[in-house]
Amino acid sequence: MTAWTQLKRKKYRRDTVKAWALFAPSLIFMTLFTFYPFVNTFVLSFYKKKLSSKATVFNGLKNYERAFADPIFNKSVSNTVSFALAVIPLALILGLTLALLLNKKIPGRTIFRASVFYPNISPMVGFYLVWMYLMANDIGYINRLLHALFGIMPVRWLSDPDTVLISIGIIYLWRESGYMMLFYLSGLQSIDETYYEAATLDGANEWQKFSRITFPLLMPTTVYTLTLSITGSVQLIDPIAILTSGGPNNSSTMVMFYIYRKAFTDFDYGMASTYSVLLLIVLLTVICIQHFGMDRFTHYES
Amino acid sequence: MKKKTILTGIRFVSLVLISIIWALPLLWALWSAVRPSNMVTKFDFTLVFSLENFRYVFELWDFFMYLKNSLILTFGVLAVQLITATMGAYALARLNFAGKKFAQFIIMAHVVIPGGVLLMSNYLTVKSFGLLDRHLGVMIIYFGSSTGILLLRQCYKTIPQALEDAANIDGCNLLQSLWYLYIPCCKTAYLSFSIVSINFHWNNYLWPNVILNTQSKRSLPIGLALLTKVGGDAGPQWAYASAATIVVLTPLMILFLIFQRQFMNSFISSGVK
Repeated sequence: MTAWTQLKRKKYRRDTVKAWALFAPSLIFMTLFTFYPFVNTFVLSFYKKKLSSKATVFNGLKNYERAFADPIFNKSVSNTVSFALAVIPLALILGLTLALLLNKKIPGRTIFRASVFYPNISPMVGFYLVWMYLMANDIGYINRLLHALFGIMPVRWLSDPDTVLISIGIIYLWRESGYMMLFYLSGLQSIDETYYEAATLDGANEWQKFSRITFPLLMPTTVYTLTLSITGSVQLIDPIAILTSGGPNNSSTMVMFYIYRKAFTDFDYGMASTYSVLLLIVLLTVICIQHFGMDRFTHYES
Repeated sequence: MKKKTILTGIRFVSLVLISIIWALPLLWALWSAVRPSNMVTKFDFTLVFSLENFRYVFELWDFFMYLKNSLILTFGVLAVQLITATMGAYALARLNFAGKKFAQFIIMAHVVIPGGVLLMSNYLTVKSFGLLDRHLGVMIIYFGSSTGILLLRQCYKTIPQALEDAANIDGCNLLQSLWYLYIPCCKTAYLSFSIVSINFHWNNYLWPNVILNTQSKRSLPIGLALLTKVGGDAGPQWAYASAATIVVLTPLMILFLIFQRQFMNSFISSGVK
């Protein structure tokens, strides 16, 4: 018996060394490029650090005072919030609608699915340029079509402070709906067909089946897609960097893009970190609610 | 029965309309790619075609240079990720060891922390390593992959321990069991992860653009963004941009059309882009 325990203990010790040796490469890279920068961002947010001055000076809470007093940062926050509030429900509704339409057999299903999903496998930079052209003031096809069909005067899609966020929202929805659809399709496929058969026998109509069976049973999926679209829309940066550079007059500057500009145009690493921390707090709250509050909906449990 | 036919009809028609709207940017890109470049901005639907835009892409745009760099970045990241993830996944799926809970916590933390916000801090790290303007500087931040570890671990766990014991009795060492047992049994998981990783890095723009400054090191998405500046005062060259976009899209599009189901599943199972 003791020999057996000893043997087991020896194996456990050997396995511990082996496991950490195997895990080491991942651990090193994750530490260097996820955990260290995560901590570093919090640390730098209390410091004055710029490319122009070599010294890194402790600045207490002054960065945070400056952040909250910064009118452009406040504008970027309100832009981000209104963008997210408008775009998230639409992305979920569009994703769910597409999934409902595509869930049952229909001729051409593969083509339909591909034509809403292709933005997710496309070089987005190229398609942002395509959108830039389609939305151009005088020569863009959208304005020309609107004029030809309805006689509408040219809309300054990307150069009018009032429409620029809407335009980016349209592009975002075009990109994101197919992605959301994917999760709803897989959610729909996991619903047991017998529920619907029972409901049909009880004389339920289509709307009742949707609101009493489909929608509640898709709740786990919705929690997941909601988290994805909150974190995705709040961190949106590529289309802004390529299409508008935050303009006109900062009306399309969102938080993530503002951080990027602080870091790589103004080279003010201290302030960029402060804004990053504020954004991280919001994002982590959302993600932690989903992950740890709704644990049973995720597929990571050990 | 009749009501059902009408409903299917409505469903079909709305799908056709939605698909056309969604496909418009792609259709427009295809259309302008094969038209003479000076006709693109005209609202003109005469059937005049030309391959001059593709000639521009392949001869003047440095396509093959960008392609080489994109291939290095995409497959360099993938190769290292597959190795680190295989090792990590085996440890977590098969071994009982001191600190396993902590290792699992590290993976979860890595999943949870949003990477986009760490851009600047990672830039400073890469800079201090002297890796600015080098391909390794772009790739290195992606070498540890929690998505990869989780996907592979899930599959490894389904392989009976008895199989590995049998392999060990036959004299297989760890590397051999991985190579002859775990990897072949989990082909689907490897394919899933590879698809997501290749798709992300093939199309990745912002981070490579921050790190790479020398023209000869830049990748396809950066090349695409630079096309806006080609025309100078004349404005962006839309026809060239369209043709280049189509060219960059084609390899992944072909893969997608062949492995559609596999693509969709990998996006679902990884939950990241």
